[in-house]
Amino acid sequence: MDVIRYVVRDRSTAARAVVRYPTLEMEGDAGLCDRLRDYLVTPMSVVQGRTDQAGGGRATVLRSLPPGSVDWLEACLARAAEDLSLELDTHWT
Amino acid sequence: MTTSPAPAPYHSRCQYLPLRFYRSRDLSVFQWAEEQFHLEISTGLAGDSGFHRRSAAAVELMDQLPLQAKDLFRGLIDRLRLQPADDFEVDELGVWRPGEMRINCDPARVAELQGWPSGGAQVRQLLQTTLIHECGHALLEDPRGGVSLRSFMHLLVVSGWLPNPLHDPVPFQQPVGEPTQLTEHLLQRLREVDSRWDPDQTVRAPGQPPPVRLDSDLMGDWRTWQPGGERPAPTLGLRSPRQLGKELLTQRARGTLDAELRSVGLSAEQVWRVASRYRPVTSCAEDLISEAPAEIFRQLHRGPVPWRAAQTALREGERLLIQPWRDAELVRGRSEPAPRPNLKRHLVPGRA
Repeated sequence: MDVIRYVVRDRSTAARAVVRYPTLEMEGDAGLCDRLRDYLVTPMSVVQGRTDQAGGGRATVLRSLPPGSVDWLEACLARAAEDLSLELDTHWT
Repeated sequence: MTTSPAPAPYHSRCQYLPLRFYRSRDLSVFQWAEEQFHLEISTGLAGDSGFHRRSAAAVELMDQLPLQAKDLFRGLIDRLRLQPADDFEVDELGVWRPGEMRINCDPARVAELQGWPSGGAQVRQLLQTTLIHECGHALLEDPRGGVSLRSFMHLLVVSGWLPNPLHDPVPFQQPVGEPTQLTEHLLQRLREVDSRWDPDQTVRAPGQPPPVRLDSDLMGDWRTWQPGGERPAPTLGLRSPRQLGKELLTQRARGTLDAELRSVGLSAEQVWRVASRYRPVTSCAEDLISEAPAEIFRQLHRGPVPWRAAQTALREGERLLIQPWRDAELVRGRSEPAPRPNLKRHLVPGRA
């Protein structure tokens, strides 16, 4: 069952691909799908914010994301988008 | 949100001397930071001799900060504490609290533990990201930043934070368009939670509820509240688009969502349309409500954002967080020269 569909568009060629969560199945432009796959196999960590409960401040933390999670997939897609000049869109189904 | 905020109060009329000016005179990086940013710098106690070099490397990064972030350091940060990794949680890179920033001078250790590339350039980028993000918190929360609660709330709205429609159906009844009405609706509800919240003041201004209340009043759990009950809701129960999506899908899986939505005058189509209209600029801003505006500030200084639905948050962030500083620059300019170095001084930072 699809829960989220990520629509990926190459800004320079207008090629499109769809990545489905949680299955990570892809469809669309074959070349774009191949390039995206390279980004979905890596461990991913991201900078995040957290409230410092002890002091009431705001902390910046580096957090590794569980592979296969939504956070991980979105971080992977965002990194691919940054490297490959892609546009991303989310559709809940 | 048609009115423009006033010019940024923290904008500095003084210029900055580059770090190389101090280096060429054999003056320390710490002296440069103290004098140019009006900071009191202290270092923590580290067990190895390389800590002085690593803390100097952290301070050097301030030379490359965007000019607005430099003004935030000069105007809103009074103390910079340079500390070893042992003084932080294992994943922490830095912490801001009003007037003070603590920086972990061992970011490579955090990077290694969290699977981040630990090369010099990547680690420097990590630390600079931290400095800019924490400057974003200073801008948004320190009363000297001049960002009102109304602007703060507006940035949440255009980042897609919404209540569950069963808790508060009003945001889903609005026509899709300008989010101004939604901002005002949520501010009104926040004042019902606690009448001390003043939309025209900054979130940490004197007279506002304690800062710890911000997250709980905005995004606390609403499910203990019974619709129709006389007791006012203790929280707005705001959710990021991803959190709200998960809640709605769970309710749909139970088979009750459509009927429950009908009972409050909504259809599932209406709800999904509104819920997918906006999103935060990064997925990192989906967990904690106070992070969303600070992430907008960081991303505005970092470069393009690939998420199509995040473009409104970026545009409004530019208007509310950067334009007031640009306006101040235009109005006031930098008519005063940078502070000159004290050539008789050889600064060794104090211990924290």
